[in-house]
Amino acid sequence: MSEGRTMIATAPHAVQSPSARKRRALARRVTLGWPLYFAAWTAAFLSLSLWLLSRNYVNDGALWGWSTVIASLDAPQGGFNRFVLLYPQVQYYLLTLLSLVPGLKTPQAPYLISAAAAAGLLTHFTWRLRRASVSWPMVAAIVLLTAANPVFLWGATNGGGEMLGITLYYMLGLSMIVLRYSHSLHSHIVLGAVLLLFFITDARSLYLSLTLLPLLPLVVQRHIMNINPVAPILVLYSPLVFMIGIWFALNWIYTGDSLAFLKDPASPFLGARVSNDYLPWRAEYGNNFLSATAISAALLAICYPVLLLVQMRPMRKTRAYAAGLALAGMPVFASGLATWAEFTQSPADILVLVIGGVMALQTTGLLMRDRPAMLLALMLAGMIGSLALFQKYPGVGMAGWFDAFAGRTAEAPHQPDLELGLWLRDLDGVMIDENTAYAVIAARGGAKGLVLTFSDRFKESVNGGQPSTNWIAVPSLGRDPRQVDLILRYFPKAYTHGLTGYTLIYDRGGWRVYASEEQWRRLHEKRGQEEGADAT
Amino acid sequence: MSTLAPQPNLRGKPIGEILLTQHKLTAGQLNEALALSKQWGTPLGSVLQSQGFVRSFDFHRALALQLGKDFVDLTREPPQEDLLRVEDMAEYRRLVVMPWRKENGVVWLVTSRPGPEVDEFGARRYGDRFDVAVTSKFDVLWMLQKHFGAEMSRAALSSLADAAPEYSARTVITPPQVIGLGVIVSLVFAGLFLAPTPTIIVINTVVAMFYLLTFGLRALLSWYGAARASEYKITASEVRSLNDADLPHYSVLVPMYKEPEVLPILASALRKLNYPRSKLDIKLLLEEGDTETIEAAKKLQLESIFEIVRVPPSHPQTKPKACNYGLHFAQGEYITIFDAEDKPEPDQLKKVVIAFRKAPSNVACMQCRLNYYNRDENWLTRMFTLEYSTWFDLLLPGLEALKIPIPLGGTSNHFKTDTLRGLLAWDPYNMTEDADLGVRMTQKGLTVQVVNATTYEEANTRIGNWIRQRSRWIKGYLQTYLVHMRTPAKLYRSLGHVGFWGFQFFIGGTVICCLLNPILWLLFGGWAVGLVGGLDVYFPPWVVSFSLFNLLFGNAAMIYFFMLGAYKRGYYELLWHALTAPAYWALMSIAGYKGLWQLIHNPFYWEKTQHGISRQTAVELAEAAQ
Repeated sequence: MSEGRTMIATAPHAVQSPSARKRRALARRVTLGWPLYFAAWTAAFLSLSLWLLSRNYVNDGALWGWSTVIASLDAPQGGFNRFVLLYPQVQYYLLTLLSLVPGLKTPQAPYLISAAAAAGLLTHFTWRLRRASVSWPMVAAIVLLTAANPVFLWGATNGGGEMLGITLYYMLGLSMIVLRYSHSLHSHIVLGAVLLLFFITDARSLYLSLTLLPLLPLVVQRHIMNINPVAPILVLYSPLVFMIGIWFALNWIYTGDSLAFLKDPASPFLGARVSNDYLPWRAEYGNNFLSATAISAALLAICYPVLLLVQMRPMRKTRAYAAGLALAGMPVFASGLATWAEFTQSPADILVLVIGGVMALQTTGLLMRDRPAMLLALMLAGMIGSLALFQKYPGVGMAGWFDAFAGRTAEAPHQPDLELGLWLRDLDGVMIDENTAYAVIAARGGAKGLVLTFSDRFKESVNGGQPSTNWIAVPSLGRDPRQVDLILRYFPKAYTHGLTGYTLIYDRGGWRVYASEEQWRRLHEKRGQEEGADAT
Repeated sequence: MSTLAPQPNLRGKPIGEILLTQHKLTAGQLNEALALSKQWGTPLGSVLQSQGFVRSFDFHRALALQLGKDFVDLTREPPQEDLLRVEDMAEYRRLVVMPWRKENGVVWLVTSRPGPEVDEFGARRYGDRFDVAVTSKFDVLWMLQKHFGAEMSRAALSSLADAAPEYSARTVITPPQVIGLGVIVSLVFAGLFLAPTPTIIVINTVVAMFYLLTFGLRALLSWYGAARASEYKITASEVRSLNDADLPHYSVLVPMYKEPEVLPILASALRKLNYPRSKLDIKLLLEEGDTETIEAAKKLQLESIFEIVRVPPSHPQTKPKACNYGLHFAQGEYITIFDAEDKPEPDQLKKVVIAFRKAPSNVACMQCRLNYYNRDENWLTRMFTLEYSTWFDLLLPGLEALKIPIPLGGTSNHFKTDTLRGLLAWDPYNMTEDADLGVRMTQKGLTVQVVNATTYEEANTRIGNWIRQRSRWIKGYLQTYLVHMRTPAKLYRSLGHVGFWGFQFFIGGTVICCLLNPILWLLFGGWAVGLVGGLDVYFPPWVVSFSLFNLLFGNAAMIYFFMLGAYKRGYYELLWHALTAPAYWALMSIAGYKGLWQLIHNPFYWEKTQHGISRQTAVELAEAAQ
């Protein structure tokens, strides 16, 4: 007997039972299963994105992001600082990493990030549901209904930062639930870190973070709130506040203006404020916090009726209930606030994120415990509701996405930019504003040889009153009224009258390119030689 | 011969009865003592003395009567010096015995613990030509100090330095270290001469990376330290379920120097310890020349659990030397150190006993947390509290979790006494002997754990006093770093990858950042206001990025860690004050340079911290008087 025990203790492999081996094999399969599951979802969403792109759907945000990254990578100096300083930067870091992978330096890279983020989120969601002892059939139904939700599909396939925002809201939801349950210092740190990460991922997070503030008593331990309500706020918000302070400091150090990230014409922190277009949502509810909040609450109920289950048992009997209330209340007030501040151009801007919070609440396993059928029915209803909402108040770029999804092929967007990009491909020393020419740069495939606005050479050229670059590319003033080209700001007549010492050599699709006299002469000489050679 | 002849009519009577007869004890006291004796599992005599019901002298006189032995008052009839043997010193201390007189070829041993062990010692040493008389415990201990004080003092000072000089800071810097340092400095100068710009870029890069890794380690430690597991190691119910009779004897060393004013606070705090008093062995380690404190201690007429140990003068005259001296007399299975102004939480010793019982056998030390009772006094005390809360509540548990050597705090570190003796105890030449001991223990394969019990101390209230104390600590850290980096390869082997690099960036990082901070701050400030220009050449963009990350993110993170420490501790009102931490770090840098200066010019000088200057001290004294 004792010998047998010794054997087991010293040579476990020799005596392990067949069932143990099976269990091990199963565990290996499960371990391998998650990456495969992730890869399958990524492939599915990416395929869908590519199909949408084949219908000429292009997300301007994605194109902008990609152009910014390749311009920064190719810039001789300071390019990297540009997106570190001015924009929520996580997507840019991810794009930078992707661009380093052979074969992935392509304008489709932002769509891969959206697809991978969506797949990652679904994988974690599935894992958490299983951990909450939800049955496999129920998990499958919930996951499929989530993935098929227009909000989720939009995030997963649009190439913008939405899916990263949804993921962060999911993380925020999870960390709030964990904090509500454990009140440990760890959970405080995690929530603080998520708020920080959210800020550097998505500009909308500022409104959500602000509206979480009055809702904190719902998630923070009551006795701490009674003793010193400021303390949890300091612990949870200091990382975010420090980050904002650091951003001010970095902007001041690098640009001399601590508010540069807010003054940038493309600043995501300004949202719809910079738009001169007529935006129905802004026109109806802008500057009206109460109305905007009330209507946002109604729209939330339409898009996410699942949240009604929070009010029911068994959720109501648990600590997650308070976190659920906070997760439901936060976007409502955030939407009201952001609308009041004219940040949003549609309620969808904030409400798309809520799907992450709903997923976080579902991971508790409480929403489906007594009423699984009702949960699925409400999820279905939510899909229809969100479809209706986004048709009525489409967010930025949604209309084109819906069209492409419906199988309608749009006119190829940015065609003039694409042509100019290809035309500029081999030229060196081209002065151009990357803010107006982001599609040109993306089409060109890189920024090597371009003199961009953050470079010393550009600054010398505009400050000196006379450019010194080989080429200058400027758009017409009417091409995009929202975005004033920086070259035109210094040389307002550059498009219409040209520049001293430069000759117009390209004039198509609202773009003009001028060549310096020297380049013009060389071009002539080259053409003459080519003609001579042809004659010979 | 004897000072008191035995009284045959009391022989064999219970000791309680004898004391009642002599009116040295009341019936109520006897009943209480009997109950406690049963509860604590210690002899009645120990309980009577530890409770202060009977003086040690009276008790031992009664004991002599009970046993029918002679009683000797050693203060009146001191022992024959020629009978005392240095080689028996350890036995004398252990058995509280000493040879007293030799009469007619018979050696008289005097002891406070007559019994088989003493008889066995006598037989071993003198064959059958000895007899035993009884004396007071303190008489024996005082006599031993009087006769062997110089010898024990020498041992306290040089045991480690003689037996394991590689671990002693007696040599500040070894010749190979001087050569190594010389080579590095020469290379830097040669580089500055031959290729100044690349050399400065390399230096800047190394500095930036060093800061980055130091911050990174702190972040990691804070994360691990914030874990719930580090908060609830020993629960209140575990403490309640302890059986007092099973508890071991516990020694407490209290080194003091010119601190008579805080003695009542200390005595009060130690009396409040939730531990059987008869199992406590508290040594007040007072410097021989410090008559003021010695007199104050005598006046308090402390119970027999308190023993005054007079530490002979020496150079250096340091706290670790006093502790080593006190260790000679320690009787407990476990031993700890408290500072004079300490107020340990009452259940601390019990928690430590439980922690030791639960811990693996290689755990040699339990470090309790330190914090301050006068945190609200002024800005400095608040900052000091924030720092300690972060250090003891976040960073040390983090070190424990990552198995990085823990630099022990100055007090409330609890040891297995035998293990401590085996390690040759503290290095009297090191100004942070505790931190050094922590690293040495890790090198020997022993570990330190952090226990969720706190000792409250008096935070420094004056900047000058604070700088003196901090400069000593930084000097000690430098000593510790130099000692353990004498053979880096050996250190690497003994600590492993994580331990070695953790040591570099935790111990080394603390000191080096302290010294470099003002230089870098001035450089950045000068550049920001336009006083310093032309730095672009020496700070390429990627070095600037790292440096700015360290400056902005690193400092913000350090402030945040301060907040976390205070939050974990429940000092919510202090969180705002963490924002002023940079001013506190500036003070640390001043202390750092003072410490460095002293390391070069006066390495073994112990910068004394003045205690009892807090406004809170008056309150504490009033409480102690009650």
